[in-house]
Amino acid sequence: MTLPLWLCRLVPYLARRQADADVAEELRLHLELEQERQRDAGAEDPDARRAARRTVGNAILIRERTRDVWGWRWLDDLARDVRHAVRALRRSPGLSATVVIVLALGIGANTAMFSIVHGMLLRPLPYPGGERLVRLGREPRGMAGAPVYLSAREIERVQEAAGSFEEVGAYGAFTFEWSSPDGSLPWGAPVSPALLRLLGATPQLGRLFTDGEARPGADGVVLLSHRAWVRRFGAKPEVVGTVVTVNTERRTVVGVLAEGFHFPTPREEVWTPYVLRPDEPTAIVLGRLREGVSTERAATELRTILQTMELSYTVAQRRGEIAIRMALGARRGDVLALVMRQGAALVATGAIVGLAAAAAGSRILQTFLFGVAADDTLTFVAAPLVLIAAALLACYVPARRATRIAPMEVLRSE
Amino acid sequence: MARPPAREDQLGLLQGTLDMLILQTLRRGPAHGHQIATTIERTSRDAFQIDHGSLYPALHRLLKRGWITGTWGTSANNRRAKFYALTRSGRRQLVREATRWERVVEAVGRVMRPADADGGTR
Repeated sequence: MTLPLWLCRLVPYLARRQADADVAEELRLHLELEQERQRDAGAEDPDARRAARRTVGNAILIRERTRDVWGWRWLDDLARDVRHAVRALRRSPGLSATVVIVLALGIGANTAMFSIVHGMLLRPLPYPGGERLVRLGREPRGMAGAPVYLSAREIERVQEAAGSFEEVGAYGAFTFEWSSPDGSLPWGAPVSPALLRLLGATPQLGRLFTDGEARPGADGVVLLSHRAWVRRFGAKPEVVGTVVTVNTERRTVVGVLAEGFHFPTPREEVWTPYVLRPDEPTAIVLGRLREGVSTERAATELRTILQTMELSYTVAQRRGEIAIRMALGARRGDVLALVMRQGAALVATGAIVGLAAAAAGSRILQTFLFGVAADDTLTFVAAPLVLIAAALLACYVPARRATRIAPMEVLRSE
Repeated sequence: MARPPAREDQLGLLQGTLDMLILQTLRRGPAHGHQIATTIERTSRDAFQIDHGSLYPALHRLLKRGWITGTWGTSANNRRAKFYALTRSGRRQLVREATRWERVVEAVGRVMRPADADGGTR
């Protein structure tokens, strides 16, 4: 049965479906009739079929073009993108969830990835510029509170790109017990060289860690607290340069820190250089804000950087798939548009969830944290815009790069 | 996706022409897709090897404009086929198109054979 024209015009979606079914059947008949005609003209059977196929052309393409006559092509595209997105989500659910959550929280909770701890934790401690010390990281799912660890790659990027911080340092989430020469088990903590600078640690003897000592494979070194030096090593200055055993590792003492330096708690007596893993987020990260930089500005910057990394990573992971599309004849513009639409879908999801969370959660957050207002203009207008722009750019750049490379090169390298 | 403009012009011209040829073919009576294709090829003495595939989007374009109707029926050899027929507004459209086409042919002819054109001034 055929839909009346007025209905087709009114509801193009119905018209599309009808057109598609009709054309499929018409093409089948067309092919048969054409085959007969070729046979009548004297062609052998397989030749006739081939010739008929050639005359009719690409059936799928014809169906697509016919559907498009009725408009609403965007609906098909959208449906296809959603299918793609769902498939991609299934393939790497953790990563996709992370992207959405990061976006949602980044936009939503004013303090999401950037919890302000100086008021609660660090202010009582005697570090220079203590009022500008902040802890940074990713928000644990759906909760306000202590930020979660970052990976070495992320820390490096923040150090490079974030203009809001004077210095960014990290320490290990796990402090350790070690066997001191007298047989007791005092505490120690792994800290990055930058962290000691950040905290204004000064050596009473020897020196601090060098950056090289925190790289994997570097010679083992250790710093002693003033108390450990006095209590366990008899306050002898010759201790610098001696080798001690920390757990099973033999480490050279490179320095003793000045009296009164505690980190993270007063109980730690030794520090080892914290060796960061590139991809595994294990580090607790502290930063010192530049003079005059608000926590808001720093938070926006941080979110932008982290989110850009996440999205770039998801897109960069699709290089193989993009190469296959290109090899099958997709145009660069189409592939770019596809990636951008999918990125936009993720961003939109994140933004919607985030703004809703912000509206709902601002009051609750305000009671938790000092000096934080989640209902200011910056959070609700400027920050989401910056985040969305950065997210789209983060999709565009790696996608463009992927479409630039010859498909064979990509596929061969995978 | 945006195409380069030159290609769009070319396609537009072909499209318009095909639409007119279809309408003209249907003036003789309702026909299904394959009949239309073969009729155009035959009457043009195979000068137009029309791309059969492009016929169907064109037919749907005409359907959407209301210039033709499509009804499922039974073909000569007893198969289900969709027969297209000219509507009243389709007939008017054909007249418009044919007039425009003749004017184009005439104008091109005048440019290509200026002597004839001069001689032909009344």
